[in-house]
Amino acid sequence: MEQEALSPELLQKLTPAVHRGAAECSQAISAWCAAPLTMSVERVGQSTLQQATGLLGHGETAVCACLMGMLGSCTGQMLLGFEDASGLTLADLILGRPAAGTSVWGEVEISAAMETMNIAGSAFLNGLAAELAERSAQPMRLLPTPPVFLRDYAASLLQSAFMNQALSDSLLVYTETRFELCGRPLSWTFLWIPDADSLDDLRKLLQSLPLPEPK
Amino acid sequence: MMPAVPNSDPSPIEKYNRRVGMGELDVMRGGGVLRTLLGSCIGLVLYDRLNVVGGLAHIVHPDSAGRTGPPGKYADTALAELLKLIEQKGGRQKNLTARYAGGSNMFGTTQLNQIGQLNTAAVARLLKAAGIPVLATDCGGGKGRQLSFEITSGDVTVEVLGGTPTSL
Amino acid sequence: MHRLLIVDDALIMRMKIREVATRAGWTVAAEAASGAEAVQLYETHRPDLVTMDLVMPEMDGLEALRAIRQIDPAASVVMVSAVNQKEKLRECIAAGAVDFVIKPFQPLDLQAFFEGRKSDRK
Repeated sequence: MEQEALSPELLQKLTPAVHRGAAECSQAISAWCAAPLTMSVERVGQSTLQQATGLLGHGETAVCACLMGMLGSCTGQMLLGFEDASGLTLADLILGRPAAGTSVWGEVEISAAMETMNIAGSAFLNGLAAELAERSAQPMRLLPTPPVFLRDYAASLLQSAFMNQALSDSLLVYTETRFELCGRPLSWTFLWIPDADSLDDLRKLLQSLPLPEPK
Repeated sequence: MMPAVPNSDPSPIEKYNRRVGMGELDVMRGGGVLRTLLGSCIGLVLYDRLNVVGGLAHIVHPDSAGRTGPPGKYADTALAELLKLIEQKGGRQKNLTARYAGGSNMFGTTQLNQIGQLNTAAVARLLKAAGIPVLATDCGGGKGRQLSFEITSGDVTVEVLGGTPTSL
Repeated sequence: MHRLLIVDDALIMRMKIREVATRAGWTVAAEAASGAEAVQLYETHRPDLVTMDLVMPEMDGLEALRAIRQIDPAASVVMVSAVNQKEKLRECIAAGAVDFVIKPFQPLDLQAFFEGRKSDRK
């Protein structure tokens, strides 16, 4: 039986940092796409392997994923997942083309998706690092690795993304996010997935923090 | 993307076509199809053609090292559990053959490469120790795989996205 | 002539920077998709300015900056990155970067930046 990776109290302490990351991400991707895009973190989830592999929809669906690693004070993966139509619309937005004008993943479209991940992921880490550094009075360095673009079965992609955590006996930890464009839901998924070693470090850091002030 | 929601009451079709998730395993007798989706994990198929009993395990980790957890998660416990369930359903170890696939490195990282190779090596070693002949494998590379195992015929097919299903 | 070397592993970012720089009167001497390529092209072209991404495969922007400054201590390298963390920015400035542009940039802001850099070179 998998153990909880982070207690409810520690999740509560982590929440302001992921919210700040989401706010920075929203600002950055809105500017990048020149459109009002928001990302909100609904919660930091903990689940079994089996439950987590449904996060990108049905396992045999073909999805695109842009993936970046994380280095520094927290290591692991970040993943931005979307289906073809959604991703190509994003590319059109960035390239200033009419919506639904593109139907094929060419070099430029893939580059647009990867750079979106770079901007979104970096901004998320900027916010997370700033919040944790301020609250702990310790320097935090959260740096991304270059993005990669993949198109494959949803379940296979998630398996690989969660593999490091899956090797431990704990429940998997990840962000559950929601995206909106002009106030309408976008079927994108952003996952922040700290790896098992980082969860240990994160636990120690969060334990030293006071509970956030109730809003 | 809406998360997939499992049904609580499987229909006859769902009882016949079963999905084996990460760290799970299943055994069927007489008929049915077992399917799984693989990245760096290994899908291990054992089949007793004489008694038409077969099983599929989705292995995540090469070695339980004495840990408790879902038996399908670890190569050593997955094999032991498959053998037990196959015997329970009327299959015999002496009749078994094996096929397996997976162990890919989708993100090009050292760790994933390592775990894929360790999983593959562990499965090979355990099958050899158990005296179960390996008919075919399809491991490595950078793509996900969909594996389907049809019990009546014993056919195993592996498909990559956008590719043609191939027999294993 | 104001000659620019654009360094970024993202094709789309090189396209956007090229468009803005050209509008501001710069000539793009070359483009590189990695830090390693950037160092080689710097040696060949000796541009007046380099825009340098930070996070790149093979050799990152900070390492490339240091290598370029070893070749040419007077090299003008501007970091252009989505990483906006104080320690990292300090590291880049300490290594000799002349400025830091945070992605995503507004095209008009970047154009003004390039126009300003032209005046600096006069």
